[in-house]
Parts: sequence; C-alpha cells; structure tokens
Amino acid sequence: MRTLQDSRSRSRLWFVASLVALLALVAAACGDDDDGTPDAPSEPAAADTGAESTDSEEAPEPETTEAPDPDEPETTEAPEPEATEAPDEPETTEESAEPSGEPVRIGILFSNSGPAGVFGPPTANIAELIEEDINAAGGINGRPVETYLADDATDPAVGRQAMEQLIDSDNVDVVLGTHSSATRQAAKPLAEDADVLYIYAALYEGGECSSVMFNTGEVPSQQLAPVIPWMMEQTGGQTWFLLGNDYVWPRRSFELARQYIEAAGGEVVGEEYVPLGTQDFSSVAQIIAGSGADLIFPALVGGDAIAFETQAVDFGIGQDAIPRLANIYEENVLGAMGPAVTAGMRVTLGYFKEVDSALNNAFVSRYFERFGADAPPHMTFSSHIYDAALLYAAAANAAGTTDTAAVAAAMEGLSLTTPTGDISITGSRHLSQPIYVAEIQADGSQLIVQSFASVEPDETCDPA
Amino acid sequence: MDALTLELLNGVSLFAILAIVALGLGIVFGLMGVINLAHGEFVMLGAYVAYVVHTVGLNHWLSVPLAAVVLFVLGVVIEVGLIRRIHRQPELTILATFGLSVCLRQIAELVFSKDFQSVPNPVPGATRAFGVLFPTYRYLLIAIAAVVVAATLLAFTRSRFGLVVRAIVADRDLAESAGIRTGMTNLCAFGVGAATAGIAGALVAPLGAVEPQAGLAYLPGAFLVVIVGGYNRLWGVAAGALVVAAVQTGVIHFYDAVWAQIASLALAVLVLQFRRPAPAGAVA
Repeated sequence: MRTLQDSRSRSRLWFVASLVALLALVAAACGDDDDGTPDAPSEPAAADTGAESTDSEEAPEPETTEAPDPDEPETTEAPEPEATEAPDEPETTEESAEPSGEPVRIGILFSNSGPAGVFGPPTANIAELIEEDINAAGGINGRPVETYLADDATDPAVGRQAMEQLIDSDNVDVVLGTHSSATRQAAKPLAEDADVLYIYAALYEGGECSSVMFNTGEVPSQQLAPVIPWMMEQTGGQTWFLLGNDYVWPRRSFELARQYIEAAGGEVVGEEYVPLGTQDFSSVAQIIAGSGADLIFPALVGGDAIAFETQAVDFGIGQDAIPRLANIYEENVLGAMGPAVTAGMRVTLGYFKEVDSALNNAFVSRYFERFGADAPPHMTFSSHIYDAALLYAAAANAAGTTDTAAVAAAMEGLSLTTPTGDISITGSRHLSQPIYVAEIQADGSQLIVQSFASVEPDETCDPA
Repeated sequence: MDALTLELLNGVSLFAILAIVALGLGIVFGLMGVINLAHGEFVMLGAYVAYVVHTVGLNHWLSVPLAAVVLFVLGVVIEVGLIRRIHRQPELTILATFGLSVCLRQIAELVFSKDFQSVPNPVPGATRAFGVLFPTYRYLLIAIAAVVVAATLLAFTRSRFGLVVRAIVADRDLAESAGIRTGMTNLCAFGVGAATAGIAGALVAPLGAVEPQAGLAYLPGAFLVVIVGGYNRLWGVAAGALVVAAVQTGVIHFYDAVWAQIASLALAVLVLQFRRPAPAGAVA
C-alpha cells in the first residue's frame, strides 16, 4: 500500500515537473512573440521605452546621446529624401529642428501570429521606419514619435485586449490598424470610449463609419470598378466564376464584382464560397470546370488560396486554362504557389513594391538595405500603415495638436505623395488612392501592367 | 456519367486523405484514451519533412518513409517525456497535448519562419482512366493511403501485437496483472500514431500550403472522422472517413462547400446522440 502511494505521489511529482517544464517551454517559445507584442515590439521602440524613464526630455533616440551607435547615426544625420518629402504640408522650417519633449505615441495594432501572422513582420519593420522618418522630418509639433506594436494573434478577443493595452497602458495618441474586420469590430468601441483616433489601414469590405475612425485601406469598389472592365478587355473573357472564402470580405467583393461585370456586359456563371481552412478543392474544381467560365476571380486567403491554385492545375483549370484576377494574392502566397502555377495571374491592389516612382524605388531599396535582402517583402499592408502614419503626422502638424477631434478635422481632405503614390482622405473618411494591377511573370516576379491614379472609394460616411 | 465518375473519384481521394490523417488520432485515442490535440501538428511536421526533402533536392516519395521515421521518434520521445505520466487522466492529456501543439507550432515557426512554403507536385498533370481525367498524384495518394491504413489495421487486428493491444483496450488492469507490458505497448501505439500522422503530412504536402499553422486545419477533420467512426474499434477510422467523405462530397455536389461543412458537423452531433460516448478503450 505504502509503495503504491509512493509511486503515485512520485508520478504526480513527475507530472507537476513536466507541466512546469512544458509551461517554461511554451513561455520560451512564445517569448519571441511576446517581446514583440503589446509593450514595445519594434526594437527601437523597446530601446526607447527602456531608456525613457531616465532621459525623456531628451532626443527621441536615447542611443544617440549615449554613444555613437553604428546602427543609428543615419537616422539623425541624413534624412532620406522621402522622409523630408513626406510630411511636406506643415512647417517646413521646423524640419531641421530635432524634435524634443514628451513623445507622441503611435500604436500599431497588427496580426503577428495566428493565420494572418504571416503579414506581421513587414509591418513590424515599417514601424521602425515610421519612427525614423517622422522624427527626421521634425516629429509631430516638435515632439518625437514612438511606435508601440500590439499583436491581435488574428483573434478578435485578443485584439480587443491589445487595443486596451495600447490605450490604457501605452497611452497612445493614435492607433493604426492592419488586421481583420472582426478585430476592428471588437476593438473599435474601446477607441470610441477613450476618444483615441483609430486609422484602419488594411484592405477591407468597406462600410465602416465612426467619429474616431479613418479607413485608408483599399475597398472592393476601388480594387474592382476600374480593373474588371480592363481585365475583360485584356483577355476577351466574358463569363466569370467567383470563388471565395465564406466571410464578409469575399461576399461584399463579389456583390460589387457582379455589378461591375454586368455593367461591362459580362456574366457571372458561378459563385461559390468555401469555409476558411478548406484543404480539398476537388469538388469545387469540378464545378468550375463545368461552369464554362472564361475568367476566375478568387477571393481566397492564405493556405486556402495555395491549396486551391496548386490543386486547380492538376484538374486542368489552372491560370493557363482560365485566367485569374485576384484581389488579395500577395507575395507570400504567390511565392508558395510557385511561378509554374502563378505565371500570368493578375492581382489588383493599392500597392506593390514594384511601383515605379523615384520615391518608391528609394524607399524599397532602403527597406531591403536596412532589413536585409531576404527581409519579408514590403507590401500593401505595411505600405498602408506607413501612409497612415504620415497622414496622421501631417494632420497633427496642421492641427498643431494631437487632440482627436482637431486631428480628425485636419485629416479630411488631406493630400500627400508617398511611395504608394498620390493619396488623399475623402469626405467619406476613406482614401482616394492609386490602384495597380500586377501580372505575375514566368520567374515569379510581379510586373505592374496597369495603374489607375486617384481611384475614389464608393463609400459614404458622415459621423455625427 | 463522367461527372459522376469524377465526383466518385473526388470522394475516394477525400476518403483517403481523411483516413490517413485521422488514423493516428484513432490509434492514440482508441487504444490509449489519450485525446491528442497535437495530432494536427504531427501532420504539419510531416509536411515539413517533405518540404526539407524537397529543398535538399531529394525525391518526394522518400519523404513518406522519412516522415514516418522522424515522427515515430518524436512520438516516442513525447510518450516517454509527457504522455506516460498522465495518460490515465484524459482531461490532463487534453491540456498537455494542447500545450504541446502550441510548442510545436512555435518551434516550427522559429525553425522555418511563418512564411508559406510549398512542395511541388512530383507527378503533375492528370491521368485518363475510367473515361475521365483525374490528377495523377491523387491516384498515388489513394494507393499509398490505402496500403498504410490497411497495413496498420491488419497489424492491430491480426498480429500478436494486436492481440496484446486489444487485451489492454478491454481491461488495462487485468492485462497488466496477466503480465502484459502495457507501457511498452503504449509507447508503440503512440509512436505508430505519430508516424502515420507524419506519412499523412508528407502525402498532403503537395496539395496545399506548408506552414506552422497548417495542423490546425487538419485537427477538426480528424476528430470528426474519429467521432463518426467510433473510437474503440480501429476500423471505425476507415468507416468514419468513408461516411464523412461521402457526406462532404455529396453536399458540395448538390449544394455547396459551406453546407458540406455544416452537414458533416451535424453528422457528428447526430452520431453522438445515438452512441453513448462510452469511455475510450484504455481509460482505467
């Protein structure tokens, strides 16, 4: 009896020990994310907050005052051309003055883990450049800016907590968001209650309207209205098959696509939705093959897109047989499909790193110099976050304050030229912006084959 | 007629995928009573084995046995280090394997990054048979899955090892007092379960994305199959996969993919209503 009890208590001990070990492992494994999560994800921000308590009245980059840091000098010495160019609206005289005083805190709510986590790393990189560029251009009202990143783990509940963290603990003046609409819906009430400006910069289905919000991502009307007729003209295709994941963004995109297709004299011969996380597309492929469609508009995300496209080739409905117009396929997803699958596909988005302008070429080469040639590529999500930060800085400078209502008033009608192109905030609190169509080349690279300047969003918003 | 043939082939290939993915879960759940929430991550790791085999330039088919070996070893380590301590308490196995799944995902992310990877199809294109064109890779997948599932089922039902396993499933304490080394059997069962998950991962890798999160998508399907098929008979995995594949394919054909998912979940609810959820085999 005794021995049995002994062995039982020993095995319990073992269990506790292994549980502790397991927790330690989880903590260690997640640690990489955590130091990149709520508090101060981007490395310079982490350094800043660490040193902040001792010398907050000093320059935005504490390191510069301490010792010549090999990484940093360029930030204070040589402002890059686009940095000075960007917030060009307000006091150009102040640009040379080093910002000082209490920092303006810019929160960035993004997905750095979970299914959309693959889009996180470029945004985390861009956060560093946002700090650097706005500070190099004189900061906001003479104050330096600091960025605070928070990860929503692609989960609205976590996103709400992350928003709470940004507002309550980090005391941010503005939140820039690139994450799902579900997270936006969960986090928005917190921004409204705290009266914190919230610029949602991800492409989304449209329809958002709130007194504290601006929505600067592409909406379906922008991505589709000019591009669908262009696509039909280019390919001669008339009949479309719409295949999307089953949630609001593909459904809204298809609702609008159907209008534009019919207006252009085309016809929708099939519309199918598959649950997120679908791995087998054999039956769907057969439906598409039987539909006789000339063109496919796939609004599939992540792994679903890769599964569909790789399987479609073997079912004889690859890009070669039925050309694609995609509105979300980005480099990560296209890269995983491989050029054999993707060559010839066309993608419509508000930004590609291949955008050919002096401003963008300089920005992109600086991005890869800074973060390495194999850095996660700068793409539409990170680009829109960068633009949102510049818009905020310009508006706050114009308003002369970071007061939410005053900045919001200054935002309306604001125009800038950024690496993306010419952008301006519309009366509907969305963004008039360029739309680009890239065609995937045989080597997998993206070539911009068409661009539409200043595409207006078909949105209405009049917050009381 | 051709459309029907194609749909049948679609159904059979889905059946093969579901069966091979769920097999390991069925073994571990049915024999040990361990609810392994890290099963999807085993499949994910199997897919990464195929990815590594591809990046070093070896033949894809080599990844199938290699994934089995790698995952068998990993399964043995996990059984000794973790499962062995807690396998008599199902609720603890849920917590522990959930934690394990988080760890494995994070480790995969650290090693391979979050990026989507892919394994090119070793036999692209389609083969004409039964009057229709059907992807060649899927024919091979069906064949390999059939062999692996059949061999595993035979091993567990026809061999002396299978006899011992069934004795343990019937009454663990009695088997133990009859001199059967249940620990060793558990070790084998968990290792074999993980190995089949590895094979599944290597087989499905060319059909989709290889990424750290990929396992999450396979887990619900595997559980669905095990629930529908019943967990105390191993051939239930095959039966469950058949029923789920038939329902999925049928509903997609006549309705759409969203309803297909709803239908297969409803099926699981229905099955549970009619079958008292008897304690899984090995629960003492």
